[in-house]
Amino acid sequence: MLMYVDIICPFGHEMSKRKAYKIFLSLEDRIDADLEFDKDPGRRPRLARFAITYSARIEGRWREVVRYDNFHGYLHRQKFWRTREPVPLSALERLPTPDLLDACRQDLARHWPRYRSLMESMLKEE
Amino acid sequence: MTESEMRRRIDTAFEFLGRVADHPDRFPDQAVLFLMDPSEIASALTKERLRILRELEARAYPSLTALAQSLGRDVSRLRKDVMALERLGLVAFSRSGNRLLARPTATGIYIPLFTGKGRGTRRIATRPARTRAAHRDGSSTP
Repeated sequence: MLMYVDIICPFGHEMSKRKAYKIFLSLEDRIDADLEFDKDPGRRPRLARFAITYSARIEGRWREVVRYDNFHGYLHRQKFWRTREPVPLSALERLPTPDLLDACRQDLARHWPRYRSLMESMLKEE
Repeated sequence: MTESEMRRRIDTAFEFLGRVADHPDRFPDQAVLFLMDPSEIASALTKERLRILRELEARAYPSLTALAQSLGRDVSRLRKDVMALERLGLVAFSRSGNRLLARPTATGIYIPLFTGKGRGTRRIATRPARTRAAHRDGSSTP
């Protein structure tokens, strides 16, 4: 079941360029999605930029674990248990945006337990 | 929750984003979504928590104590519920001196008919098809 809560704009308004969603996968895991669309007159809006962040609730606080982002003109991934520095994903650079999103989905679906566990370990060491 | 269930939910989340990318005009600009089992949603959004949200939407309360009095509830139990709502992003806190003020971040709750089982899952009605002519003259098809 998918349930969502409209927090800013009700349905039926003219859409803006930006959309932001908090998606709770569980009470301890969340995906935050920021989407930006190009709106050219006479054409359908096209998804141009996105930032997808997986956060986990660890030790009572929400922690960003990994982010996939192409807002700065190139696709990169940030693994927050290491550093906030973005690491470019150059191999995926030429893919169209929907395919980039799918590549991010595959990476997160495959690796989230390890990513979460690495973040937990880093916090224990601190 | 199993790892495969978590993977399914990640897939569902991205499927939702794909739908937004395809038809952005059909979706709100900002939203909080719960990709959880009906039982998990029911335990997260209890009747009392929904009452709290409705009350916070209707009036600004100077403190959690005032809110608890208005709802006829024990303050410590109410505080736990408000904290749970804050974890879900449905309530935001601010401070006024020693007082904790809660305000709702949501204007309503929507449950779309989307189950994350892929597109085109809607089933065709099992009632026998009738031709237009048959429909017009009231006769039934075999």
